[in-house]
Amino acid sequence: MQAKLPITTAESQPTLSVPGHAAQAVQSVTRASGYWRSVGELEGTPEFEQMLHREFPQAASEFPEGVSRRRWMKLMSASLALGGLAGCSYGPDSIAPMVVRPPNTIPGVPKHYATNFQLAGRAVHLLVSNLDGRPIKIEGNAAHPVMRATEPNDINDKPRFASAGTDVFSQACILGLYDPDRSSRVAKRVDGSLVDSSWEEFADYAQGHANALAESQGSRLAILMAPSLSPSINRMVAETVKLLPKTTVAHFASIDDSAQQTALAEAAGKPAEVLYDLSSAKVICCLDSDLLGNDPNMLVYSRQFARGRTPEPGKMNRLYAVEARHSVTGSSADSRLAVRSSQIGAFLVRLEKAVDELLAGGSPAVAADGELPLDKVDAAERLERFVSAMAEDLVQNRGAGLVAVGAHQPHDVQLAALRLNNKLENIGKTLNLRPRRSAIAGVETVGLAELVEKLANGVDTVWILGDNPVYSAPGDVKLGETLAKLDHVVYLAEYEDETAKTASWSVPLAHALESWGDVLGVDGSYGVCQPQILPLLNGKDALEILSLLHGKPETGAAIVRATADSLGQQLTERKWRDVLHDGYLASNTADSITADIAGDGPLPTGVLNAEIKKGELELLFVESDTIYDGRFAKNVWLQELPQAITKIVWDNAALISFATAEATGMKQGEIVRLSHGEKTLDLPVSIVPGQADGTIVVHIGYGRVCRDEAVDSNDTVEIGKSVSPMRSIKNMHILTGVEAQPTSRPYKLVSTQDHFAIDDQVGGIDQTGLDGIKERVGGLVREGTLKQISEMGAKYVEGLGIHHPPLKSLWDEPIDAEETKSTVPYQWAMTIDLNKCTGCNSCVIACQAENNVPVVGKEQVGRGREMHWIRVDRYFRGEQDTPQIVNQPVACVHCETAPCEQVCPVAATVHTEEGINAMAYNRCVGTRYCANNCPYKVRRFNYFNYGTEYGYFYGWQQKSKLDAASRQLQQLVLNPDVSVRGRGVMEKCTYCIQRVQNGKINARNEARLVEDGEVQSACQTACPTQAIVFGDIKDQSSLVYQLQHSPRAYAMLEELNIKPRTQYLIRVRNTHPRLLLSVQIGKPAHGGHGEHDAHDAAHDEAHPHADEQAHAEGDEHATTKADH
Amino acid sequence: MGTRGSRTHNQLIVMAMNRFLFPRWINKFLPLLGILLLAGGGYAGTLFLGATDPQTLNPGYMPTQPVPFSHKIHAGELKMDCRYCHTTVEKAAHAAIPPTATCINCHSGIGADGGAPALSAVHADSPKLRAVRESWETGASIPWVRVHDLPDFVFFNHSAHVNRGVSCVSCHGRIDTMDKVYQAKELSMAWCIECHRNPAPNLRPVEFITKLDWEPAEGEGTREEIGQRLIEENNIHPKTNCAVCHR
Repeated sequence: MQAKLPITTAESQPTLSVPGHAAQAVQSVTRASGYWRSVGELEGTPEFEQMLHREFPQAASEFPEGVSRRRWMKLMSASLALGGLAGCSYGPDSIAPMVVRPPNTIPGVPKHYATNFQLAGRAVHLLVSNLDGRPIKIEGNAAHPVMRATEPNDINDKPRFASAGTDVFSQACILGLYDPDRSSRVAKRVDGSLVDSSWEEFADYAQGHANALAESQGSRLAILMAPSLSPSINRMVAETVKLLPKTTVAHFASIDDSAQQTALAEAAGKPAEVLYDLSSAKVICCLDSDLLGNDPNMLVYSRQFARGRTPEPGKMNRLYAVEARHSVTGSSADSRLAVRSSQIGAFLVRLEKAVDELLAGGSPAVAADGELPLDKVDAAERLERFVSAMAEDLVQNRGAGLVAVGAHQPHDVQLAALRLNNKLENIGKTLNLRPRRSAIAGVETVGLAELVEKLANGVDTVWILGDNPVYSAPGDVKLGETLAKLDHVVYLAEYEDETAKTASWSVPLAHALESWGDVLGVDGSYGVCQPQILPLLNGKDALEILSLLHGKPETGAAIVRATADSLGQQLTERKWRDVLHDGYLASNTADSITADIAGDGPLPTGVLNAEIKKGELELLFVESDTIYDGRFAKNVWLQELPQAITKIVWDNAALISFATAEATGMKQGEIVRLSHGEKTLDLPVSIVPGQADGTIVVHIGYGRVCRDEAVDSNDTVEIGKSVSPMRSIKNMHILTGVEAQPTSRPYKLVSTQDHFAIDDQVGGIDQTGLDGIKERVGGLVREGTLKQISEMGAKYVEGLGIHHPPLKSLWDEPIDAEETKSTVPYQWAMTIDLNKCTGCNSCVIACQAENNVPVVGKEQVGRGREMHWIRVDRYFRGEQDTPQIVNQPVACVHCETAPCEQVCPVAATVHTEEGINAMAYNRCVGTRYCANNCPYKVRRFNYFNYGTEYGYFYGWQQKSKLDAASRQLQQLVLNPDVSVRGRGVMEKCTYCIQRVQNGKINARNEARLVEDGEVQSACQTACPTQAIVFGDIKDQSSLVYQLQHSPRAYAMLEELNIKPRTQYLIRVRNTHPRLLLSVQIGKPAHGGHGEHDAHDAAHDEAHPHADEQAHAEGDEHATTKADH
Repeated sequence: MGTRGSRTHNQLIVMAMNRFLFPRWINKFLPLLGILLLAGGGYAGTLFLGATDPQTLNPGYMPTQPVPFSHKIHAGELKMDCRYCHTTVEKAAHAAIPPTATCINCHSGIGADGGAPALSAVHADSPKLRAVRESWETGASIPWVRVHDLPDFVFFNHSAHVNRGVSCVSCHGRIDTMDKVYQAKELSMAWCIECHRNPAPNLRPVEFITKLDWEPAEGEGTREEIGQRLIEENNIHPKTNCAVCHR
């Protein structure tokens, strides 16, 4: 019944302060609430305890160390300059008005322009805030038809809440625009190194080049590109092929979906792609498919998924995740099963068989009497139950179910999945085949391996359209070496990166925000990418450069316009302006393809087998949640963004399960040598509970060697380790037969998971504190099953909290008597719906961009000094092999009786009449009492001038070296509506006070009140699923008021009587009754109130304080109850 | 023990040191020294506080502008409305400095061909307007010098004030009498809060916000009374919490 002891990892931490400590910790996990945040917490490692009990982590006040400081500060120069603008310098300040102010331009008031582009394989529809000519913030385009069709909330009477949301890449791409280390020169290779050249020289070269190529009809020319969603790019390539018919066009994407594309093309009879409709799906089965996380359509899918999460019986969808790694989708799933990626095919065969039986009239398996919960049975039975539950649900919901397999799964698995969906009548309903947007009409593309072969045999001219293929190419394709031998390699890219080093011409591409371009949305609608600013660094857009290849230069604008004309039947000038204004040409949507899917076919091979053999491990390569395939490696916002599940920053690691660690001797934080054939890879190990046994997950995109030109040195640095050498063109994502040889070399991985751990057990000794946490986490992050919530409602939600005597306030309330007066029309508040939050991290980057939050670097994060105002807490729940994950975004909750305000000696943090806990930075003297007294640990302290002296990348060495122009360029990313904080100042979430104040002033100027939804916080607008809602609770018709009075609402740490303004809505899992875990069964299990029915009447004064000792037994009772 | 006349080393040192000690009679002047120090400290403190007081530091700042533009002539004598140039004052945080084009509306230079200008040409060849004409021809901004400069952590919004009936004159003084603009008011936090606590004296009907010499008409009551009435009519309740200005 008890969890297995993680023997290997316990050994790695021999210095436990309490004998038997680890065992106790594990037991208390399973006995109390069942929540834990990390391996360290589960085991009670000294590091975790230290993090927990010190006001600030160890050495929080020490200076950074020399070596690592140098290393981390000198990385790259894509940087955030948070400084220079602030301060109280009263020197002469000049004002430079425009000579002619364009109509409708008001200095200091941002304009919003619609744009669309492709970012990391995703079509993004954006609205860019452009302040005085510079883009400063990116939002989703809520008016785009794709976004309108997937609105997550029912907002018919509140059109102002129309939302779009964004992913992290869109939010962060604005930092790249102001990166002075972007390529700013046309460079050509002379004697092996790149030297300065010019656009004119390149144009001459390209012209001569075009003539020479024409003679051979292009048989010597190849174009290497990633599959592009841009009709203009594809048209230009098609025209090249028309002009030079023997041209080779190669498609290479670092994230390989070729097996899926082949399978779909076979089914559709033409190039096709898949588009799911999760909003009409009642049962969603994701087989190694991260629809809500890394999928290119994650934004659309997240929104559709959230639509189906209304926690009412019959309305709520059910998400199954069967996957090797622990993905964002897995953390949102109602039930999750860990299966190795290579065995997904075998799982599918089992599932299909079960479905066949049911379709043939079989009856679904029913729970036997006294059936144990899912986590108490062995792996075989777990699998059996999973298959039968999934099959039952899928068959019951024919036409409203979905089986989605990951795009990296092999061909036979793809076909089997299509076949299963066909049997279940899902095709055309929840699964649609669409014309493949990246297909180029009239052009046969080849793969990377064929290209390299051709390069060795006659093709001597290559145009590479960005994306750094030399870095991301798998190890068995010697692309870099081949290119280096050629004399005519033209590389278009934003950075002079690894590929540029092999090129004969490196041509600077303009940033997407500086370029003309276009993209097709998932519905096939045409969207234009319009430049928001003239190229800052001498770049040109890809279209314009490509036209040089044709020998007839055109501007990007003309090319895009011609494409739009060809799609939209000769747009009038007025209509064209409408397209630019709206961001889309709606008339252009594509119809779905009716597929012809064979009734049977080859079954995927493979056996389901969870046995861990030391030399037979499986390596799964996945794109990073933050830096994708390495293209964002220079974006420090993304580098410092904690990865979704591991919360690791600035690194990649070999992620393994407990059992794998135990069986192979790998240890947390030590380097393991992975080998396959002759290839080896050294990576630090990190344990991720719930990952498939025998699978090692590694993130691609790391190990980028970054040029350090901004500091005028030849230093290069690596962030993490490149895993490309281990990949091969046949095994781009799944590699079996890998051997793991643990070394005992330690490596410091930095993760944020234990930082800012809430320790509300005041004055407790270590173990008590830990136990306290474990008991109380269930009150912090609450969840229940659909049955529990729908039957018990608010009682259930309250029952999860701490039982406490009636609360008496220490203060005369409201603390600010003004609040109740009619002269104060607003009381601001927020709700965060844990049921909708997928943990995608968009809010974190949105907040960073909006509020000028600095980046501090790996070493500083290791000391617990990260500055993010909003963090996404990730809790594991249950047993270590079958944990569930809950994500909980936490920012300042703006307590009514805020503890921070009581202890500030200089009144730098004060309450406004409208309920916002305000920070006056210029008054703060940096005592940090407030951070100490904050029970939510949401306050952040500026240990350094992260903008000017430390942080990215203004270390003291760099301070003098980074030239003034680069500095000014970097500063352009700052939001002028928010103060830039200096050293020694505390900061935290302000509820986006600048947006609140501007919203109020605008409304006031129009002699009206702020409408509900008019003021939205940055995290809210970025949230794809609209889990975050901000508004005025004085207005009883407001959305936030209604949500706060929903039976699902609860306040975190309400027992402290600090009355937080941010409330959470409980997470609801719609788990199949046979798949319930023991922690999910019974009445509120937390704190052991499960069996005390009398306690269900919350705040029952007859039982003011339950005996805490008795609580520990609660779960055991609950598990045997099994009242389903 | 040493003999008379031969002194020990230590005694020599004591004798030598005595030469550097003040004689005892000095001691009675010690209280005087204390008084002097206190007085000096008080004086220095007063001087410091006085010298750094916003009232001392801020008003009167009068930088030289690239164009000797006279508000006295334009706003005072010609009675041009403030909003002819500062068009955004009712709509936005910034009361934007006008673009060169606004100047050129009246002050376009001699046409490029030497003939008549396209627009009216007041002082078409005045050397004082050279910077304006150059800006118009080259497209470069005129580098005006900011007179009213708040710290970067203060966020002031013009529209929020003028739309409530706070006149330009409340913060900028009688601009219409200034040949060369200078800072007339403190613009310090205490000064701002004074008005946020009691806005009545600074309120007037919105139609008079740019009439800098406005006085209540006979029988309408005092400024205070008018202000009080406007507060009630328009629900004007300025706040004094930090977040009003600091974000």
